[in-house]
Amino acid sequence: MTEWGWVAFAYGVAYGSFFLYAGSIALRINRARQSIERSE
Amino acid sequence: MKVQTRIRWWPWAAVALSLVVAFTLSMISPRDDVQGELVRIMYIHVPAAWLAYVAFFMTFVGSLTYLLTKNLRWDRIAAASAEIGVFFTGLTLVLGMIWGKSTWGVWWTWDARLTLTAIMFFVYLGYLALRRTTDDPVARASRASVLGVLGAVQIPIVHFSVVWWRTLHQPPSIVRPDSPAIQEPLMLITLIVGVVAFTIIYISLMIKRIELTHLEDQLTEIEHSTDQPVAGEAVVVPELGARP
Amino acid sequence: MKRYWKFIVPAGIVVVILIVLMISLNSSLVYFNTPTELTEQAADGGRLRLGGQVVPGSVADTTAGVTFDVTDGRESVTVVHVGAPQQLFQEGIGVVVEGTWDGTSFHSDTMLVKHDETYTSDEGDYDPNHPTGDGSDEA
Repeated sequence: MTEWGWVAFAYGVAYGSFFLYAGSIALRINRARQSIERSE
Repeated sequence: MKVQTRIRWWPWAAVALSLVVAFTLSMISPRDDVQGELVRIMYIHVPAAWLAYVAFFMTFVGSLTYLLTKNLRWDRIAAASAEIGVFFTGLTLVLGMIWGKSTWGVWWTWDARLTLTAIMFFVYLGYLALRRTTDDPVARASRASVLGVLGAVQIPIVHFSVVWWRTLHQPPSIVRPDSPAIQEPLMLITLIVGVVAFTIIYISLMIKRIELTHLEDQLTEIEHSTDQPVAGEAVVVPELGARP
Repeated sequence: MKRYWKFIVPAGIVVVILIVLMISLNSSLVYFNTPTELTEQAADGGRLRLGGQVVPGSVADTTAGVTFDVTDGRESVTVVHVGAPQQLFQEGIGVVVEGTWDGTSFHSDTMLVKHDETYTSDEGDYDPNHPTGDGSDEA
């Protein structure tokens, strides 16, 4: 792989995992909120 | 029931903005004489490692303060920070492997820094698993905070392993006995901006993760306060003998 | 009984970790030997790692790979490497090679490049036409 290929790979992994982790937190917040609102 | 936790949106904007700024600078900073373009991996690998330390240090602070005050708020901080720390440690390991393969020539080797980082990763994964052994917030907090305090011993050991022992991994460039080893100003600025950006990301993730912890606790409380069984109507007793 | 739990679980985890640490790191905390250490010890045929700087001017291609001298500033050892050298391999760079020591030279089949913690850039060397940011968001 070229140097830029490795760099792209690394940044893809980093930014991709930020997106996934932030998404998982947002998803869990929404799910918990809905469960609380449903429980009235 | 009303949701009692304020849900903020701005941390997500802060994360996005930090990433854009850090990314731009990482791409325009000069290439390294030895490593060429591969040096750009440093601008995400090093901040990820630093924020892993910061996160686990916050877990230590939260755990210790919980043990002293028995205030569950501190346990929530410790828990949120541990999860984010595990995320950053995992990211550090993966980025390190990519950097390792492209510069050293191997994805992984058992040198002191790599081995100790992997152990730190699994210890805090153990911390998260330990938190799942009970639903009782007080029991959970006291079990976890013992490990949260003990685990922090690893932070300085991991960081200085490259100074104390002869490793394949290079010694630190910034926090080290001598003056910083990065002479090129734009490289140093890029790294510092990277660390600042990742710190903003850490704080933002903490705010959201603590929100989540509040909601989860609220949910557990609701489940325990109602007379219904926890699983509710979702569980249907299988009928024996009801064959077609 | 319940009171003990919260100490037994973390203490158990810590003990297991300490045991793993001692077993796995005792032999490998020092990742490689220096040329000085190597010349002081007799050849025993065992596999070991040698690390140091590649001496400028000592690199020569062979049919099976490459030979070069590795130094720690005091002693230097000739390495006979079989296989292609790593991408970043060059004179003056740090390397760690894996193989056997026969008392006079080191026969290696595995090479790792050990770059150091200093970062420099010769701006005059920088080509502005070099592709920057191409596909940087793709993994």
